[in-house]
Amino acid sequence: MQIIAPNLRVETIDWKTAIDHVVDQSSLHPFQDTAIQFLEALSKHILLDRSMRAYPELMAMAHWLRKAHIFELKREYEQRTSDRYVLPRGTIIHFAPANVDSVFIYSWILSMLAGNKNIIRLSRRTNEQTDILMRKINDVITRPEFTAIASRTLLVRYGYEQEYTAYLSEHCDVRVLWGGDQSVRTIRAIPLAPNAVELVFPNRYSKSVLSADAVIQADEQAMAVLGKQFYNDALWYGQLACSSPRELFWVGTSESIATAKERFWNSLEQALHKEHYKNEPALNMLRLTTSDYYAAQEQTGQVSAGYASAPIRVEVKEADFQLRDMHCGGGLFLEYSLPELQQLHQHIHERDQTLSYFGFERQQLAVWAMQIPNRGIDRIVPVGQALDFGSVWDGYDLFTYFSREIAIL
Amino acid sequence: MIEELLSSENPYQQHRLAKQSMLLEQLNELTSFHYQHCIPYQRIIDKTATPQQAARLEDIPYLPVQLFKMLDLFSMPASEHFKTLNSSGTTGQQVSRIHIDRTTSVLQTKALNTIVRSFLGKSRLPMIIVDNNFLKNRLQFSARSAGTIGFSQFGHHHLYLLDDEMKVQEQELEAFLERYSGQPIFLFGFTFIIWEYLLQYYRARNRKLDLSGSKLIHGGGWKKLQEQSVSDAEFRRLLKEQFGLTEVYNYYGMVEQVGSIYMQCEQGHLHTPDFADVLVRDPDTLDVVPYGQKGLIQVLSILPRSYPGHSLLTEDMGTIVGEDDCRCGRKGKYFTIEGRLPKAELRGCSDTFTLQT
Repeated sequence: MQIIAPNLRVETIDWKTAIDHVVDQSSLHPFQDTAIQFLEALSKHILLDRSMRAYPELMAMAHWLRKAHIFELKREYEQRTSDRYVLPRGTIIHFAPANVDSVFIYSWILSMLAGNKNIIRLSRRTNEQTDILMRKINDVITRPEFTAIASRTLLVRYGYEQEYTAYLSEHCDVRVLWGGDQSVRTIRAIPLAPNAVELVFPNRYSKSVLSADAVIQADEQAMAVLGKQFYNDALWYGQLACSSPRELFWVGTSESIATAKERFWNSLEQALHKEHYKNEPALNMLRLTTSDYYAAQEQTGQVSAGYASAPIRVEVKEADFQLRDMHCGGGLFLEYSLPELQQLHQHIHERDQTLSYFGFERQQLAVWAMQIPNRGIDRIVPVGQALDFGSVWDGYDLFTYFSREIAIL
Repeated sequence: MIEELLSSENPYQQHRLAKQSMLLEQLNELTSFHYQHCIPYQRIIDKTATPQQAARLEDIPYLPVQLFKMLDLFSMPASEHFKTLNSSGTTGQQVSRIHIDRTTSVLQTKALNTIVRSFLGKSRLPMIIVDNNFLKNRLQFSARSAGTIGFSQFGHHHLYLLDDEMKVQEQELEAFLERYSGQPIFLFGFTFIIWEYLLQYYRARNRKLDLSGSKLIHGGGWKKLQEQSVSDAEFRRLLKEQFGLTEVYNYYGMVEQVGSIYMQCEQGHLHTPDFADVLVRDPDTLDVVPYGQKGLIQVLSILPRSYPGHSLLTEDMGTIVGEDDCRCGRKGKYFTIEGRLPKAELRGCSDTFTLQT
């Protein structure tokens, strides 16, 4: 087990001691000043570094940590807990997903704000974004004014060793699992402390719904914004984040859909061009193979591909949940045409997480959402906000899970 | 036409223009044939709006070679199914499934024959297989054993050189060499196995072996040797130094186009036979690049009848060195292979743990 942050305790060689040290600390109060100040400092440390502009995902994350946003979270928290006696749960162990660089930050921070002590386990796989983020965290957490945070935080990296997972599971109050189905199964087989609870975020899948008429009516500027925002949602993580849309549902008449598609894909291609988006050649090969696989299926229609890294679009004529299992990311979109929003119900799968929309009213979608026939869809957000993390995620109110309430009668 | 090509004593005699027009005609015919007989292939051509008939070789529609791992593609009725070839793959990996009928199988055998005989000569030689005897161990049946069986027809009195622990069986080898002393021997094996279990065995013991005048054919890829930074030239140098082997031929080939192998000549170049060709494409744009420029190898072959594999885009990187003018005298394009496209690092919310299998 490698201790990554805080990189203060170099003399602590024994991993058990390092874990015990965190577990033995008292909890902080919810939204305690030092936590707020720490997050503000971390946010500034990232935002003021010009070199960070190369990493829009990290910039978005730092933006999320700004004081103004933390105060928004605080208001949210206070509204939920007014007239109630709410305390932190204790020690939370977060298992971060191997490849979405920053998602562990969100679960760590919400838990920290609720007052908990946190241990974060990262996989052995490293990437540039995570390394930079670790450096930034270490720069700030080791400052003397943040000792209270440093002593209640531990970021560790290890591979498959069950011994570590077992010890952490035995000593935590909440276990949070982010990851693929297989990983979730493996970790869940390891027993938790009797009084601990668990929060699980397995593989999810996301889609977009667009009103053809709204796209046709949008002016040039609105189209450019739509293209850019859809680009961010779909391609920041190479279309592999759970919230990145992989399917597109067009609502309208077939003529209006044809016109809208042309406008929409043009604006997306412009955004790709502006952002110099480029897939690794190996991913392009995988995408080419997958799109040929799709083309070979009976239920698909036209497959349109442009230049090498441009989006590949596959028209789907009949609903088939099997198609999605082959999806490889990298800008591959399954497109459906629907006469009305109502028909989208039959395309909702239990695994669906985010539905991002353009050209619909919130109220209209709320009515639609309450009639979803299964447990699919946990978020409905405008295009451009698919990746924005919220304190309600995958149907859980995270503050509630990261807190315990004392009933006083 | 194809019969003639496959029974020729020299499968490297077609000049550029004649070869191109012959291949174009044959490959266009194959595209139409597979379009009519393989519905998934027809759908791919139709839905991607790919023209069926090409005016240039580079316009022949191609399939990414990995598609055979996702789909069972064949252009024959089930009754004509003769055998299925599987690609090698590490545990848990998907393997290609190539469906072969008798006609294609015969063409593959003939093609391999004409190529290998042009290197080894007409008569069969005593043969050493640098591997263990997988015939005893059915469980191991793989692309490796299939390749070995294909090459076994070019030798007689086969000696499987390694035991089950992959150690050289020295006594058997001595007896074999004594029996055939003064005669050229045909050695065959996979590149990595020859390196690891033959060369390293004798190098570690600092012993030499006299195999001068014998011929070695090896294939199966350089990946593991590249990891150890062993080049083709170094490999040849050590074989000469340790065993006196000077006739060493590497080959490039794949289970998706069995029979169409690309043999390495005395100059170190891989050669396209008259009935097959290669194109090199830019890995980003997939446009064909000029000779001398590195890119993805596309392989063309007129052998595949039972499955639409006559034009395949591989993930191997290589460079066409020239055409018709290799100093070895063989006609056709000649090229080198320089590794494989690095695997994509996928980023996504999956896999906190990846299970070790």
